Amino acid sequence: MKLIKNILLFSFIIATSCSTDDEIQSQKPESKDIISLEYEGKRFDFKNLHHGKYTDKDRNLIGFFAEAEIVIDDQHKNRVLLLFKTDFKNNVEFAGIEFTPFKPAPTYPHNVYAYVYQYIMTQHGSPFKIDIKMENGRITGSFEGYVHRSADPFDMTHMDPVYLSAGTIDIEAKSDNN
Amino acid sequence: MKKLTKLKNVNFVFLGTSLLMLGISACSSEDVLENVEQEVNYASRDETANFEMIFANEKEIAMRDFSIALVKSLNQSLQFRQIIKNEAEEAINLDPEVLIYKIKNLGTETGTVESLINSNLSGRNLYDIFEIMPTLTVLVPELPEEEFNAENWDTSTEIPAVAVRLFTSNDTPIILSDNSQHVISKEIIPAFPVVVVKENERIISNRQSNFLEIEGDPFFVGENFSFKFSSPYFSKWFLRPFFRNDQKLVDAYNFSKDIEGWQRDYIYYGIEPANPNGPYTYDYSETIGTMTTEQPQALYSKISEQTGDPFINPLIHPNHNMSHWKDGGYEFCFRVTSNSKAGAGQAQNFKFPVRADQLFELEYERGTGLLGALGYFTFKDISSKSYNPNIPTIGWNLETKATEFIITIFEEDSTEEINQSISVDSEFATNFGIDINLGISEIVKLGLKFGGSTKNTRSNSISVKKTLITDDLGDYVINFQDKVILSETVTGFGNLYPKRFYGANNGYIKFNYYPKAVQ
Repeated sequence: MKLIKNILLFSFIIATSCSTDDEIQSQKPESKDIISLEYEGKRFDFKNLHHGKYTDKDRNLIGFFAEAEIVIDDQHKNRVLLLFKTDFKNNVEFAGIEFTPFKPAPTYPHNVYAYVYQYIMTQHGSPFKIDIKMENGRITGSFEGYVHRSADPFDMTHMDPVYLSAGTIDIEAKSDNN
Repeated sequence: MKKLTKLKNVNFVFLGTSLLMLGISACSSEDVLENVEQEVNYASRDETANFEMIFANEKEIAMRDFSIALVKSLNQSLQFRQIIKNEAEEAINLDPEVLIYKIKNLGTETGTVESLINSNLSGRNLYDIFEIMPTLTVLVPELPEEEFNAENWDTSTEIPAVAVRLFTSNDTPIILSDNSQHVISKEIIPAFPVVVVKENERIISNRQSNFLEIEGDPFFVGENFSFKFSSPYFSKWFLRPFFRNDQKLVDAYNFSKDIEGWQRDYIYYGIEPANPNGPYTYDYSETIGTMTTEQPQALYSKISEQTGDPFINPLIHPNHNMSHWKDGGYEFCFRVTSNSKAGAGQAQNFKFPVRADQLFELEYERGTGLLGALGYFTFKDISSKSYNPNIPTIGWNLETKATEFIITIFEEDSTEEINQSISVDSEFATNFGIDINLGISEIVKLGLKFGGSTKNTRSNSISVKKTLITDDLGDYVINFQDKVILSETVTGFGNLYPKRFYGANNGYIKFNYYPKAVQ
């Protein structure tokens, strides 16, 4: 009888250790986190955000990032990543954005690739406005403006930026998904 | 239903130990290849689940019912087999697939395809199944060693089995031509004629909400359903552009080969010995070209360790059915870091998805004894293929940028941490100015290489948000003075000009990075 119990225990351990992410996620309450924006005339609501640590060069925790993607089909998708410096209490500072639209290559459309638009250059007359606040552990706010592939003035003369409008943020300030 | 292997006289100790070992091996992620080999040993000739129980939802049950009817119909009608073969050879989006709705009105010996299948369906008809799955598709797979494919299918003698591609299981239900029903392990590839019932992931019907938003006209309009490719680029009618040698690159090779000059001097500035000064042209951009690996096993082990990455799953596959890989793809990032005279340097990221079958080729080993006496293939080895993402990155103007770029390559997995920053020492060329003899007022590069000037070396801190816990595939230094074309080989088909590969000794990735015309 003890042997059978042990077998059942082994089976239980194996079954639980092999649980899929979906099964784990289904036990968690649905997150309210959302980043929304308009790009090329379409609205994108990024949900199911993935959170991670933002660290300095000594790997001290100085904030967090939140990223998500919207899959359009099996090769085309848009991804957004926002980076914040924060004490996870009341203070928050915007630390960067990456917007990554995957598109067919213009000369060889069977290939899909993405430029990562990550630079904001208000000082070069290409404004990116963001207004955020932090209350009760959540960051809320809005953003709008141009993001660029490169901040080099030479590159900016021939690399078109993309414009993100009607951006809204409503996310929990945390550095992991737990 | 046949049950070919049965556990007999198995004591509980052995059962418990086996369960534990199977659990450990199933959960291990360190060496998938090794696990595949082990599992093949355990399960290669066994059925892995109950046929009736493996169909988990409405769509899978619809595919089950259709498959049972399909086997009977293939048995009964040579003309139906010929229709499937012909349509598969015609191909949808280059894959040997047959959209069942598209052929339902074609004639067989006893009526239409639809009436033939309906006569073999019990309790429902084909229209019911279309209502659940309009893009119901039959794939005629290309089996290893040309064991079976649409081209060599002898419809007069070969009546294929029918396998079902499920959404919820990697194992494969299969119905043999004698109508016997089985489930075979995911590691097994049949070595006998088989077709696969699946939902087509690259076609959408007018029942889907985004149908009107998808660019292009339907490629087939029926009584109740219309069909489009989910991207116009999946259409076989989309013509691929023709590539040829870029004469400017060839000229740069010819001008520079005798004097050990810089090919990029000619490509970006038109500079050659007889014409030593020239303005920058925006016509070219450094481009990520062909990538491959000399160590496919090492690369595979390096980048397939995360959940969501593809791993080998040899049976007639999911997303891209000519390959044998578990769902998912790789996403590569090429980060090009260049120092700038304007101040802080720049890092630009270029990302692209790559399917496993675009990077790797699988080799197989033949076995016998599947489901009695049938043949099968299992995975044996992995070799490399080449993929050309063809991504224009940055033009290389030495007036503003340093003489080297650093390319960092990684395969992106779920990111845990983002960290700052790296510092790069760079050399800048200083031989730029006005040449009144050229009759233009813009700044030009004065002279070959660094001209008569001294180089200017300085360190700029480049702010790079470094993603930790990714599959780092190395840093590669690209110098402006690197040869673009390495040699010339005269052939009967024209001259070949192989381009430089970076990373040939790295072990993971090697790739072309060269100037390519962008306008």
